[in-house]
Amino acid sequence: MNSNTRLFKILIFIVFVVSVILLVYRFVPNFSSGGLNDKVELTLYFSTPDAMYLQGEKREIEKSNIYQNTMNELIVGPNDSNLHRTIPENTKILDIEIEDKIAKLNFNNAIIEEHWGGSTGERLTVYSIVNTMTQFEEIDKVFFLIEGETVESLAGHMDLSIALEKNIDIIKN
Amino acid sequence: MPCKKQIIIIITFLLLISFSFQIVSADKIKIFINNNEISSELSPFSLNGEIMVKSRALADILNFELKWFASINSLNISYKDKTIKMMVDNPYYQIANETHRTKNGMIMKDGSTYIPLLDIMNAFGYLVRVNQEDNSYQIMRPLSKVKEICWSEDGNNLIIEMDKLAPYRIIRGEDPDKLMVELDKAALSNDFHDNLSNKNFYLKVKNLDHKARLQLIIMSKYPIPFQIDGGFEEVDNNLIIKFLPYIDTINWLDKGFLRISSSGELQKPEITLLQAPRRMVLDIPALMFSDFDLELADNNWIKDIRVSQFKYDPVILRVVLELKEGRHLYLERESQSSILLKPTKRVRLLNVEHNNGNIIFETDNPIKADIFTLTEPDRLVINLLNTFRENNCPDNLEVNDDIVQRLRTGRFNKETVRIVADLKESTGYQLKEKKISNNFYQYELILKKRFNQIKISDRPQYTNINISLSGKLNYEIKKFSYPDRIVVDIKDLDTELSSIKLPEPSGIIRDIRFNKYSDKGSIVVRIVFELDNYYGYSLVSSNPSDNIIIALNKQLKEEKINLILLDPGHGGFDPGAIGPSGMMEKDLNLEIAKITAELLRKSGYEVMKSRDNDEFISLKSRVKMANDINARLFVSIHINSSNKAYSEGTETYLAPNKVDDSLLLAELLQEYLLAELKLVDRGVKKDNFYVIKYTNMPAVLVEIAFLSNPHEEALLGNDLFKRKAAAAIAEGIKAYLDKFKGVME
Repeated sequence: MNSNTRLFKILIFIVFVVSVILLVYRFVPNFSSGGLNDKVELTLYFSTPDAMYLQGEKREIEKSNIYQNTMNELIVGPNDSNLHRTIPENTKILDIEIEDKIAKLNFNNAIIEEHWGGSTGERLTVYSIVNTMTQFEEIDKVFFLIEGETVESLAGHMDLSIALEKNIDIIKN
Repeated sequence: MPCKKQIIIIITFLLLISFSFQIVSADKIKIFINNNEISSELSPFSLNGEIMVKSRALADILNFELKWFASINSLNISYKDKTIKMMVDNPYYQIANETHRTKNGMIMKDGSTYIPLLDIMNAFGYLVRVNQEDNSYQIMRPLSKVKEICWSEDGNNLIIEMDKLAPYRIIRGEDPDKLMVELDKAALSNDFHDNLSNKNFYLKVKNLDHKARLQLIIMSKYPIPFQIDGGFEEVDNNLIIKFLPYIDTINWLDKGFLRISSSGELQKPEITLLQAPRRMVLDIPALMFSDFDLELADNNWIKDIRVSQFKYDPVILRVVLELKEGRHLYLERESQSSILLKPTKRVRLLNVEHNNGNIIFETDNPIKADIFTLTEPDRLVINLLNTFRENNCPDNLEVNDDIVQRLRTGRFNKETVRIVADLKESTGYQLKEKKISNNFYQYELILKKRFNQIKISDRPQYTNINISLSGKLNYEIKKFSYPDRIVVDIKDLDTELSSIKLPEPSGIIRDIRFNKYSDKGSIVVRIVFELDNYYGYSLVSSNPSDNIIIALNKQLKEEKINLILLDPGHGGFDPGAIGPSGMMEKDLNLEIAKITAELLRKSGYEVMKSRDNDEFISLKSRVKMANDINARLFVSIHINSSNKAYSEGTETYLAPNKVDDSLLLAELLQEYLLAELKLVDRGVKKDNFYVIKYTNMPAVLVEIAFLSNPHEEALLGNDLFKRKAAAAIAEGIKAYLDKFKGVME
C-alpha cells in the first residue's frame, strides 16, 4: 500500500466516524441532553392502616415515560410498612392518554377481577390513582378504562362514567 | 466480492447522503392557508431571516390584484380597498400614506418577483402563525376584531369591545404600572377607537405576528388598580377589566371636619392611633393611589396628611393624619364612597359589665364605637378610639352564658381601649346609646343570634326550606291564604336584615320576602314564603333549633306514592366482596334486605326491592327503577371490604349533590346501625356513588360491616346479627319518615 492510498483510507475513516456521530446526535433525541438518569420526586398515595384515609409517600420516579412509571410504582405499593397498597398487584396499565387535561388510564382486567371489593376498598383504589395522577400540572381529571372499555364502576359503588377530580377529604392531614 | 476499502467508502457515502437529506427536509418551509398546503406554489425561501414568496402565486391564491410597472420596476398589490406599493430591491414599501420598512423589500429571482410573506399578510389584515419546530406557517384571517377600548362611566372598568370574544389572557408582570391583554387570532378593526388614553393612562398596541396574537399594553402613571382575583368579566362579546376604585379627594371642609372620597366603593379602614408624633393611620382596603385633590385648609386638628399605596397584595391605601397636640378625631361614614373624620373629645371608659346577655359600658363623653367580629376563635371586638381606662375598670369578666365566655378589657395603645368578648358561637349585635347625665353615657351592646343562610331545594315530592341560624332560637310557623303563604316568625334575631341574601324561589315557592314587626316590646323577624299552591307541609326540625327545616308538599297526599326502595348490592356474576371463609356479599345483602322489607311492611309501609333473587342488575338499571317508580327514598344495602383483615366498622354514604335531603336519612341509619350492632363508627361520608347520585329521591348506601374481617365475617354468618342489622335499617327509615308525619292541612 502506498502513502496516498493510506492517506485516502484515513480520510474516509474520519468522514465515516464523523457522519455516524452526527447521525446519532440527530436521530437519538435524548442523547445530547444526557437524560438517562433524570428522576423527579413525586407523591404516591397509599392507604392508612385503618383504611379510612390516603397518605402521601414521596418517591423518586424516572422522568422518561413518567406517567407509566408513576402508575407502576403506585401498583408496586408503599415502602412505608405502616401504609398499605391500594391496587391489586397483577394490575397493569395498558396505555395512558392525556387530552384536554384529562388523563385516560387504560387498565387490564386484573384491577376488577382481583379487587377485594367494598366501598372502602374501591374508594381507596380509585382515589389513590386519581390523587396521585392529578399532582401533575397538566392533569386535572382522571378517566378510567378497563381493557379499553368504559365502565359504570370499579367494584359496584363509585360512578366511573365520568372523569374524576382530586378528592382532598380522603387525604389524611 | 467488493474489498473492505470499498465497503467502507460506500457506507460512508450512504450515511452522508441520508444525513444531508435529513437536514434539507427538516428545513423545508411549509406554508398553509386554511390547513391547505400551498408551499410548492409559493416557492418560499428564507432571505436574511425573512420568508419570501412568489408574488404572482400569492396573488392568485388570495385574489390580490397585481399591477406591474416595468419602467420603474414597481409592483402594486391590491386587496379590497388597500394597495401596497413596492419597488425591486427597495426595503421600503408604501401602504395608503404610510411607509414601512422590511428586511429585503421586493426582490427579483429567476424572472419572478418575490415579496416578504409576513409583512404583506399583516398589511392586508391576515394573521400568520409560525410553528418553530417544523418551520410551518399558517395563514389565517383574524377571528375577532377589536372595535374599541374605553372606560366605563364610573371610571372603574375598562371595556374592550370586540365583534367576537377572542381567547384572551390578562398578564400582570413585575411592573405594576403596566398591564397586558393578549388576544389570540384577533386584529384591530379598521375603525378602531382608542378611548383609553387620558392624563393617567396610555395604550400601546403590538401585533405579535408570528403567534397570530394581538397585544394591548396598558401603561399608567401610577400602579394600575387591577383586581388580581376575578378582576375581569365577559359580557356578550366584550371583555371588561375591573379596576379597583382610587382615591379621589381629601379635604378639610368649612364645617370643621375632614372628608375622604373615592371614585367607587370606599371600604371601612383599619384605624391605628400612634404616638411620637401623634398620628391617626387609616389603612383602607381595596383602594388605589392616584392623582387626587388634597386640600388641607388651616385648622386646629390636623397638621399634615400623607397618602401612600401601603400594599399591593392585598391592596391597601394608607392615609396618615398627623394630629395636633391633644386633638382627637373619630370616623363616620358619609356614603358608600366617602368617609368623614370629625373632631371629638377624649373619652374616659368608666365601667364595663355584662347584664342580661348584653354587654354594657359607660363613658364620660359620647363615643362612636368601632365594632367588628373576628373568627378562629369567634370574638366580638369593641374598639374605642381616643379613650383611656379608669382605674376600677375590670380587666376580665367571666360570663359563661349561651353566647359569651368572657369579657376582656385592655389598653390597646395610649389612645385606644379595646373590649373583647370571647364568644362560644358567632353572633350579631346592636348598639344602643343612652345619655344618663352630662358626664355619663351608657352604651348597651345587645348580642343577637343571626341568620347564617336560607336555602331552598326542590325535590320531586317536596320543596324543602332550610333556615340555618347562628344559634338555637324559638320560632313559630303560620299559614295564611290569599295568596297561600307560609311564614316563619323568629324572635330575638339580629335585625340587620340587609345583609341576609335571600335565595331564588323554586319548586312550589314563588316568592320570598322578610320584614320585621313589633310584638310585646320585642322585634320579630318574619320570613314569608309565597306559594303557587298549598298542599300541606311537614316540620322536620325541632323547636327551638338552629336549623329550621320545613318540607312543603308538592301534591295532595293521596297522590303521593310513599314507596321505600331497598337495593341489595351486587348479584349474579357480581358477588361483591368475598370473605375469608368464602361468604359472598351479594347473598348477605339480599338476606338482610328481605328481613328489612318484612319489618317495614309489618309496620304498614310499602316496600320494593331492586332484586328478589341472585341476579345481576346494572347500576344504571337500579337508578332507573328508583326514578321510574318515584320512590320516596332509596337505601342500598352493602357489606364492606378492604385488603387488610383488621379493617372494621360501619359507615353510611350519601352523595355530595344531595346533602340537603339525604343527610338526615344517612345520619339516622348510621345512628341506628351503631346502636344495634355496636361496631366501630366509621362515620357518615359523602362520595359520588352511582346509585345514590343519580337517583332523584333521598338516597343512601349503608356498609354494615367488613366481610374481609374474620371476626365481622363470623358475625355476618349469624342469623341474629343479620336480623339486628335489618331491624336497625328498618327503624332508621321509620324514624326518618316520622319526621315528615306532622303534615298540616
